[in-house]
Amino acid sequence: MVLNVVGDMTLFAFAFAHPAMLAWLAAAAVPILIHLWSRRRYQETPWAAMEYLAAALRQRRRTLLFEHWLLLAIRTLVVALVVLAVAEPVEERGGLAAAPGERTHRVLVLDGSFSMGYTIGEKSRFEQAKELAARIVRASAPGDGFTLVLMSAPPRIVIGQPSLAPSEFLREVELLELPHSTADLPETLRQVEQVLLAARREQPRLTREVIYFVTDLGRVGWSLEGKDAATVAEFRSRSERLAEAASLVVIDVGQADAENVAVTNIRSRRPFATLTRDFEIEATLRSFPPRARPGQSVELWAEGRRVARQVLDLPAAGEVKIKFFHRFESAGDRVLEVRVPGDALEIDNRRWLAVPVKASVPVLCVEGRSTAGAKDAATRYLALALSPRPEESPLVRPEVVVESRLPEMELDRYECVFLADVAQFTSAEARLLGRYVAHGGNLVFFLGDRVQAERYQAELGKDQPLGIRLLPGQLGPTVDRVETRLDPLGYRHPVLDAFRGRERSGLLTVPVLKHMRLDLAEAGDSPVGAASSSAATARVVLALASGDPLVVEAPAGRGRVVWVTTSADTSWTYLPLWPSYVPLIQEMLDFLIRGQLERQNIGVGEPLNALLPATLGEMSLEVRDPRGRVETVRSRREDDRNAWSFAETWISGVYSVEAKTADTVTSSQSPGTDDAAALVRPNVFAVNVDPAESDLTPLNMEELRNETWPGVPFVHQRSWEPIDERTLGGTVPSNPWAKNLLGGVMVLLLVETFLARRFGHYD
Amino acid sequence: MENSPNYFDPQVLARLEGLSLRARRIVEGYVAGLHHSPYHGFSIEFAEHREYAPGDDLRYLDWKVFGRTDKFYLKQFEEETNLICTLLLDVSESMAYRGPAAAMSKLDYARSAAAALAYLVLQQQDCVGLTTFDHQVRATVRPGSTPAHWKELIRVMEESSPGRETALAPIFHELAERTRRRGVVIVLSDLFDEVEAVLTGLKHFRHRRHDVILFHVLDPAELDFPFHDVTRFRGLEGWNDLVVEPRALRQAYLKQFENYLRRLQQGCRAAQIDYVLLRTDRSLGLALASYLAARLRRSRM
Repeated sequence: MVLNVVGDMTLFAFAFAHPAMLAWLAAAAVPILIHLWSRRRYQETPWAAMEYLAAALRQRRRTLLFEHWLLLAIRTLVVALVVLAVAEPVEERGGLAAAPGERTHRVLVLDGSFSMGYTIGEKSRFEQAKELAARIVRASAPGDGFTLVLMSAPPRIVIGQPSLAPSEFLREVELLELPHSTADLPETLRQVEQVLLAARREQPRLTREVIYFVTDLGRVGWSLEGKDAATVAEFRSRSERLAEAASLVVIDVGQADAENVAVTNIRSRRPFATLTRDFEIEATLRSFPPRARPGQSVELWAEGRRVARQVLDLPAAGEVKIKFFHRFESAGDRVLEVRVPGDALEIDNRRWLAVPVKASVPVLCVEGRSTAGAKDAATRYLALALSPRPEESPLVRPEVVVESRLPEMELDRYECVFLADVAQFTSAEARLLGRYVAHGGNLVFFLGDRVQAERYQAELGKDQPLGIRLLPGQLGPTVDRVETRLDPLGYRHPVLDAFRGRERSGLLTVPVLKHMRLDLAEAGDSPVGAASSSAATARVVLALASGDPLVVEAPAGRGRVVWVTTSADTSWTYLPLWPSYVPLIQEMLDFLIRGQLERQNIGVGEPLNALLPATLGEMSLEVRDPRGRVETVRSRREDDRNAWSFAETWISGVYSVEAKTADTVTSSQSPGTDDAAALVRPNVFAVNVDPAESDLTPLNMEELRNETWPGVPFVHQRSWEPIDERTLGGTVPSNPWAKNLLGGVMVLLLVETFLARRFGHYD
Repeated sequence: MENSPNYFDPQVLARLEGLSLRARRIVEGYVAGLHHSPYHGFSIEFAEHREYAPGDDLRYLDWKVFGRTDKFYLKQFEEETNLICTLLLDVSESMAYRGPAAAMSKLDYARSAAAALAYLVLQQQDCVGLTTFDHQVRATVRPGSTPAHWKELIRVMEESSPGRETALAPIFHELAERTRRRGVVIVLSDLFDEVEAVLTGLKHFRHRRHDVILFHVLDPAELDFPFHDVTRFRGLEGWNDLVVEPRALRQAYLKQFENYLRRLQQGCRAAQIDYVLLRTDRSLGLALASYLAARLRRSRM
């Protein structure tokens, strides 16, 4: 039963916890019946002084009638109010049952995983979720507070402090866009708890808490499979805590039979493209759930136009790889896109690859032994290996300089710096190299007779500015022992990827006459102090049969450092004479340069960041996102770095960056604005979705109840509908309406007693 | 003495059989010896004629007037006898009322009072007469002072039963016209009639220079209206029945009744009529004694 009272543009209605009790409202007629019955049941007496009784009656007739009706009305009302109180009325605004005077903090958690972009009909799941959120807000009582959390990875608190203005809150909901991320439920719950804790401190009058999860219950987001035990335990205890204090409502907007085809991967073998060769990429298509799909069209787009199209059959396994070739027409940062025609989930139908298209790859070779180009130069074979056919306008053009020129070189111009048999480095040189690596440069050290291990250790084994350590272990002593077998260590390192399955390439039979030991295990015992990040993450690429590392690679700063523990020429090894030398050097260079490609191709939610030449000084950059919106970021100079970063990569697609034309360059030595714009590299980034979210399989109720939230009370709804929140978890206060009604009964009883006595109906 | 009954308690008095015994008990208990006639030693002189009425002593018929006019006229004298007391007893239907707290009806109580007063008067060798009435005269006992007269008075009173509605004013006028010899007129009635008319009737007695004593006999229920539950009040003397909730009407009723009493008492005071309220739940002896004592004090002043 619902009672409606309309007033002041607000519709109030009441529902009852025990509507059957309302049948007792008929008892409200009892006082009237008693009155009528008592009039029929009277005692009788003769009366002599009738004249005065009749006069009294004439005098009081109207008053008596009024008093009778007033008392009858009060008595009837008393009975009615008692019945209403017993029936426990609860205020209902459009369906939300809540007790009066009680304000509720409603936390709306909208699933921000991109599977919410699945669209059946005109509206996506996310649009439906926003509409449900709006309905919940509109149906709430005045005084309720609303917060909004987007369940993405990482989760985003959109409105953290309870908003008491529904219209403003709804405006925020309306503006909310679906990010193209996955969902991180444990972290989302942590954020929700933080929001609730803050709200309890700052808005203590919001005594009730309800958390709405409007979600498609995607398995990727809601299943705890693959998560470590500590995370699961923390998640469950937090869930129980939340359920004790708040009501949990899961509103499921998903479809159990949803199908999807996605481009789950796109990669290139080479780290950059050239203008002279076709660039090869490999895309992976997958159907969810796995099933054969004949005649699937796949397109390659470049520079805003379709450049290739293939039609293939997806096998029953549901996954297929497809190769495309494309030749770029101009150098610079370019983007390739693989696209499958639309299905119900558009977001993962496209995948982008930002590719640096290079006309040349500048490489510096630092000669430590002789003059550049001399026959005994340590870099002689190295330069040849880097540019095996110099007469064919090679892409890689190594510049060889003697070590004495190192301090004067502008290292940031080079993609990679090879250092061969350099005896030692001064502190200034070490800092120079450290800064170069920190900015994204790559170093390859070859050793030799001139190398003074202790000097290397002293200068390169210590932390440089920005926390860079170039030497990832303990170097030395020199081992003068011929080794003829190399250990590829299972070809695990990408540098050796090309050699996998090609044992006859000669890689494993290289005679190494001398090498210098590089003990990575001792890195932590170095006198400099604790192992730096480069030492901790150093990987042995290739080892000698004795186990000593021959090639070690370690990330450092934004770049990488490779240590080859033998010489670059034939003084310590015959490697330069071996057929595997050139491919090894080329693969090494590819691997080192690939860092740029990796920084240009990131996942949704990962920040864009890059360095500007230090000489530019701090400047503003405009980042244009896939929707064409432009955000301005400003670079920051710190410790000789001039870095910029942009974190708002919630949408998949291509982000471009350029110098803001009106920006004032702060450095007096800076080049002009046009030059500055040219120096912003890379200027294109590809942001792609996590393909795991393409699997639209929802978590079923049993899994949700038994695995994700065992023992946690929650309400599951297929579509939002009113609930009696008092029946859920959390502290349930007594029903103030019922209390008020009983209070009213007490007041009426007092009034009735007073009036009856005053009217003379009681002695 | 502790075990001797308290004859002034109406409850006890009501149990006594016979009006004669009741009267004697009352008088012997308290009232005896209090009264001295204020009219003792007056000589008789002719005063006037008046028309004969049933019950008049035929000895006072003026046969000469009868011979001239063929109508019966009585000769009336300024008597030189002792006090002549005339008791006017209301026997209307309303006098039959007996409330829940009363031991006897108003009529019984009035009869007891009348008998006691008659006994007292006779004890003093004075004459006492009696007239019972409702809307008309029901019975008349002419004044006398013999023991046989006493018995006659008792008989008439005991045989008087509640009659019909009251019409006091005409009755009083008629009796005032008929009672020419100055004396004491004692009215025993609940006086449920128009106050002004009642007072006019009583004033008629005063006009005839009677000493009028009004014993206003009321039931305590009429004074206190002690009813609680819804009650159907059955109207006596021709009034329609009323079903009312007494609690709601009590104040209004009491106000009306007090107003009635006040008007009556004020009228009596103005006409020099002794007003004595007799509640039927109160001791009759005490009431009579206190009134007579007060009257004695007043006469000696």
